[in-house]
Amino acid sequence: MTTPLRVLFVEDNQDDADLVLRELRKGGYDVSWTRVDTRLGMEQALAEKALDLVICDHVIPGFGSSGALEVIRTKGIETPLIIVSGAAPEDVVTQAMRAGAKDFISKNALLRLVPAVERELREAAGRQEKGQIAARLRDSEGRYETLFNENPAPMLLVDALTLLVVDANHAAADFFGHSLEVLKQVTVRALSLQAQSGTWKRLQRGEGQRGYQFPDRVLRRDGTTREVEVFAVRVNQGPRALLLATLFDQTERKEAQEGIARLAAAVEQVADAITIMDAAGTIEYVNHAFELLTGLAQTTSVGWTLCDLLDHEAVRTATSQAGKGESWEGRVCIQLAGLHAKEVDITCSPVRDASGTITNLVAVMRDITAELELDRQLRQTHKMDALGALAAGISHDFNNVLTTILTATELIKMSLPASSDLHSKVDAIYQAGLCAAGLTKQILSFSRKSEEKRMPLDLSAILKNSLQMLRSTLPLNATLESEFTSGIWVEGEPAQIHQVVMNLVINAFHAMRAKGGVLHVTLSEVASDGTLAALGLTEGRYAFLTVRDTGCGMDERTLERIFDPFFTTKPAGEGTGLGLSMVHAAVTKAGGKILVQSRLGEGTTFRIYWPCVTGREIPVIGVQPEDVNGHETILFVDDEELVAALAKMGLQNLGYTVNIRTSPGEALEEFRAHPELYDLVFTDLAMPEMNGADLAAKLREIRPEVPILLVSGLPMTKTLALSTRGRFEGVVSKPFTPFDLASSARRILGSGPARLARTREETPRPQSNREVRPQKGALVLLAEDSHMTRSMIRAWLEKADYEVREAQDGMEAWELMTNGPDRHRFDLLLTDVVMPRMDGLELTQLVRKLDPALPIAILTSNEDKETVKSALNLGVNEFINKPFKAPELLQCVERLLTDRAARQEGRRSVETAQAVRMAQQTMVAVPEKGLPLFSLYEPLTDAGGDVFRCMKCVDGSILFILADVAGHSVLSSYAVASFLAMLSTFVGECVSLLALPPGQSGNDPERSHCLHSCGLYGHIPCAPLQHLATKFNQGIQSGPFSEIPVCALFGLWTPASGKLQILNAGIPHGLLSRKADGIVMPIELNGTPLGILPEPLLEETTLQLEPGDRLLFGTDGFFDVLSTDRKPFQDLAPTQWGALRESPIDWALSVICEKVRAHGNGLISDDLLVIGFEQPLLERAPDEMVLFFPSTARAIDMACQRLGESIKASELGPRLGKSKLFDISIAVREALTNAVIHGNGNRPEANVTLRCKPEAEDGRLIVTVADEGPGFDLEAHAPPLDPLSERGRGIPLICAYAQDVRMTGSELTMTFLLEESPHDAH
Amino acid sequence: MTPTKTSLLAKKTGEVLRLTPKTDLVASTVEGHRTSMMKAIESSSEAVVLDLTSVDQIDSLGITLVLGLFKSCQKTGTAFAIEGVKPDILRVFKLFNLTKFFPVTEA
Repeated sequence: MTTPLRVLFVEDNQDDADLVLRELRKGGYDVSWTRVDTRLGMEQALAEKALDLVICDHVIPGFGSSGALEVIRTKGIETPLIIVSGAAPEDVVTQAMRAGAKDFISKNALLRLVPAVERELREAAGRQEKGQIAARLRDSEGRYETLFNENPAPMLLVDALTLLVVDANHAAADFFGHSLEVLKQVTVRALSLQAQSGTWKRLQRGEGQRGYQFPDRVLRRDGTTREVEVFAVRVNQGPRALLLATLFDQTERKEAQEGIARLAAAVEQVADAITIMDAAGTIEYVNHAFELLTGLAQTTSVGWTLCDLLDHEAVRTATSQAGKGESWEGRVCIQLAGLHAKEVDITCSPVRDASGTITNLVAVMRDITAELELDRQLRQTHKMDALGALAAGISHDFNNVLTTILTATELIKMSLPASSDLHSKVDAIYQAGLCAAGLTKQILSFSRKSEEKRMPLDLSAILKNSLQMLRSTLPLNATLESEFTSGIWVEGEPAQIHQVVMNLVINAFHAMRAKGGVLHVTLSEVASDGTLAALGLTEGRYAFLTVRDTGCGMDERTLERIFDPFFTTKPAGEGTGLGLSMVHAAVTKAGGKILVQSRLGEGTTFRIYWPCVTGREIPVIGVQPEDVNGHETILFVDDEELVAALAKMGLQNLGYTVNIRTSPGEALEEFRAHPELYDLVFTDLAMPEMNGADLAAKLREIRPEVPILLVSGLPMTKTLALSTRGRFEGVVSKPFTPFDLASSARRILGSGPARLARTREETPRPQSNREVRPQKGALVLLAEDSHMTRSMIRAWLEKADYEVREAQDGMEAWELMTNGPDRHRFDLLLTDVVMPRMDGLELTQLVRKLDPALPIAILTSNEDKETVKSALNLGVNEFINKPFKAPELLQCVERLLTDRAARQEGRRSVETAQAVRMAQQTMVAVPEKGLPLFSLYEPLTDAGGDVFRCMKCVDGSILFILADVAGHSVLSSYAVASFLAMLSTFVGECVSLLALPPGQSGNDPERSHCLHSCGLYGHIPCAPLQHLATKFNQGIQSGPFSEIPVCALFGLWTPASGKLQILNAGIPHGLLSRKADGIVMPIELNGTPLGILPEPLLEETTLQLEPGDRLLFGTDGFFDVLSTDRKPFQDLAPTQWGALRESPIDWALSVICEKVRAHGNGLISDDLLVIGFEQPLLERAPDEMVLFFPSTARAIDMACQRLGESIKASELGPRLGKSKLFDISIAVREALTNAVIHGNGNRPEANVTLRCKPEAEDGRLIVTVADEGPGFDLEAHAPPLDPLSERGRGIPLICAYAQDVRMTGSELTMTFLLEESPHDAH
Repeated sequence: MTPTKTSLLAKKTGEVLRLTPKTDLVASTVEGHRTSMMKAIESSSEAVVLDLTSVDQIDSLGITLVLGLFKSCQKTGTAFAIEGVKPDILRVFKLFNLTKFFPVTEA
């Protein structure tokens, strides 16, 4: 196949041209050629046709190769020119090549011609292609320039690596307000407020080859920011990566969107119900308020008309009118299924578009039910206030009249012989007077002008009593049903609450008198919720009382007025019209709410919400003196002569000497003349000339300390307002009786002579050299909510010469202890556990803070163990189980008081001795029998009650017991001796058995039995301390001193491993000072003292001690030492023990005991026993690894890593394959995870110990994991039956991968054998 | 137990979600992984593949996590498989018969 070739020969010799032609044809070219030999000819040939090649002779007469090259050059022709010539010198060739010849071929070497032609043709084709590309590029660049520079959107070309702006278009310059030059000098960070955001960074990293579209906020030169949408694409320019970012300003669009969203949110959240309908009235949208108002979900409402949903004529009118283009406003009452009727204001309007066409209708509805109710209440309040003002106006005079009647009647009764038949008549007058006084109170009550004594009351009890009373008056054809929740306490005046109940029930009876029916009364407690809040009730709990009858009911007009004073529907003489108004006033004043519903002929329901009391609202209940007789001299001042005279007569009858004055001036004169004569002055408030307050001020100028009582017939608020100028010891309200006056006098002047009061100061102190006995006449505070139990206990105690103060619950007891007249004087607290308002435990907690030494006994009635535990924790001294008999109670009280007396006695007797001892020497802690355990014991008396014993077992563990025997009497010392003997027996037995090597118990049945009962089973000790404590408890209970309880703490410490087991039965919490972090923490173990319960509550724990950890245990004689400001040492002990961290342990113990003595100011009122020890370095084999770590997940990883390193470094290391290491690791990891999560409950402060012992000779590895938990039963952890169960598989994993697994207490020991294949084990 | 920060690679290719934990499935990491994995499978996919290529250790909590993941997938009808399991870990799965419930492919 030939290749066409168009050749121009510049040659003067055809032969030479033929020669070349032949050579070309030989080379496979189909040559079409032209030959010229002049410049002109060459120029014409070049102009006429396209040529592939010019072949030129070097020398042609008149022309030559240089001329041909010049033509080529001047014409700008790309056709290659090759010179074919005779031999030529090298410089000629070089010159021709420089002038543009592509080759110079000698005619003698034409073999080179074809390759040269091929090369040149190829290069020429390449040049042509390049030229085309360059042309296209120029074209493209032109278009890019236009697109970039003229683009109306701001564009930035950014270096992808540095985010430096490489180029920017004019729109960008305009947008940012910077010149192009400036823009090209900044990075994107200067322009974008979110340049640090993820998208720019992703672009920098080269992610997102297709580019990103993302929102951004940019900063312009003028400081304004704009929201933009950025389209950024990665473009590569040679090795340099660039980002082309186009910005679209979204600010206006976003603002518009936000505006729409705001509007939508406002419509959705506005309190008014909004409905948007189409022009035909079909609902397109309803807001949330509409859903609340109608109870109809949005999805339900859309598609219906408003009339479909609300079915109300007015709604039909409203939408129809709006549809016609007119707005409609009105009020409707809507009632939807399941909801109360609601009063609603509706506005319905058309919505028009720009052309004025109605496109939609909008209805706005506002629920005004609550507003209307408030209006109604306000009107009622105004009405009641007006009536109240009137009532208050007459009550003052009315009370004066009643005072006269009541006092005179009482005086008549006093003067009548007992046999007189006038007594009944006088009683009738007196009762009528009291009734009238009650009526006055009622009038003041509904007008809110009276001041009753409000107190906490058990509403359920009152209701129960009232219904009991009223049951007999129930109409024969009516039945009474009731449902109560008991123990609902409210605050109020007892008679008033009683009247509330009576009034409602009696009204119901009257309503059912004609036809009979059912009266249903319920009482429950409810918490305030949305419904109650809508009634205007504040947050809290309310007693909810309903009284529902099926009687005649009421019409709406009656219903509107039932709470109006003096309004009654009863026949004349049957009702005062004050009953329900009083009920209303009482409930409203208490902060409650009364609601009534009634339908004529169907019946009436009253619903009352009455606030329940909380602890803080309870007022102090004063103790009324029982005997009001007296012999003091009193000045009585009242301008009402009759009142003054009657008061004088009444008080004189009770033994007082009374002078009366009816004018303040005279009274002042009399007092000035005999200032020391009078023990007390009574003065009326409202008097002519000078009122009571001014008189009191003048009397005090004469004798400042004289007690003055105010007598007033005005409401209390007004009385207080008027009496601010004077200072009064108290107020007596009119109407009063002589008893009221005398009672007030006694309250001020103290107990009367008839009372056998004996204050504690008068009680002779016990002598130090006689037997300590409890004080007779000691003051006992008794808190018990059962009136009957309280009375019974009081009677027993008083018979035994104790003084008793009663409280009906914990709150009242606390008030008496802190604010009562006997505060700080009580010798003993006896308290029930379950009581309203404040229970016995809460009371104990408060009292312990006030007086840590006060004996407290709890009266229990089958309380659960947790309660008993809590009580012990709080420091209760005794438990008396109900039912109990008098001797039991009295023995307990005597025991507690004896103990208290002994402590007080002991405190005094040792004071001197202590001072001398402190001056001479310091007690030093001593080591116990060469063991690393130190104790310091200082008995209070020779008959010390604290005991410490410890002994070393054969395996090196140390068993120790700390015991505190109650009391310090001679009896206690005998008990101590007895208990010590018991302990020696039990402990000796236990220690010897603990020491047995494994397996030795099997052949001896007796020993095996002992071993089992001692807490050993096989060779695995179960719970030796538990066993020891139980045996000791049984020993005390069956021994001669069963009434003396013992607090005890048992410990089993293994210094070699750091394991410490502790069991507590009533000893204060010990202190653990950690070496690792220096933190001192209490060991919170509780328990009941031994000897009290058949099965004492005992708490046990195990600690994993690190070398350097220190323990301190002490009896209450150590922790309970009080400072002069009554703070127990317990509060300071952790800090003090921590501060002694660096001192040797024995020295630290001695020092802390000196600190105890200093804290108590040298006064120690109990045995002082404290023990302490420090964990030494652990025993371990040479290549054994021991690791302590806290209970955290990360620590498990760390421990596993350390274990792996340790195993690899051991002798066994090289023999362990990767899989075996995996097996060991997975099993140990599980054991550690189990210890952290289950054993130590994820408490970081609890330690886990990991021991790893390679036994190369036996080819095994023993790993032990110990935690501070109680341990677990391996057998109980089989793999789950259901393979998909998410139950834990930890223990099965351990058992699968270790060749032997054992659990001893809280220690899990795993043995891994090198030889056995784990696969076989599986 | 405070979980350690964990890393999980969740990559969705077509309808297959591949979860690749980058740390062991043990007590210190399980909680973190659980949160990440449960979040990742919230987006619906036809299959979830748990890739354990980077996991050298697993404990009982880790197994519980795997089971939880499997059950969550079951509830939504999503296929579940484990891939890249190292032989030692495969032994653990086999010990509890888990390989019967979903495909487990060894690394």
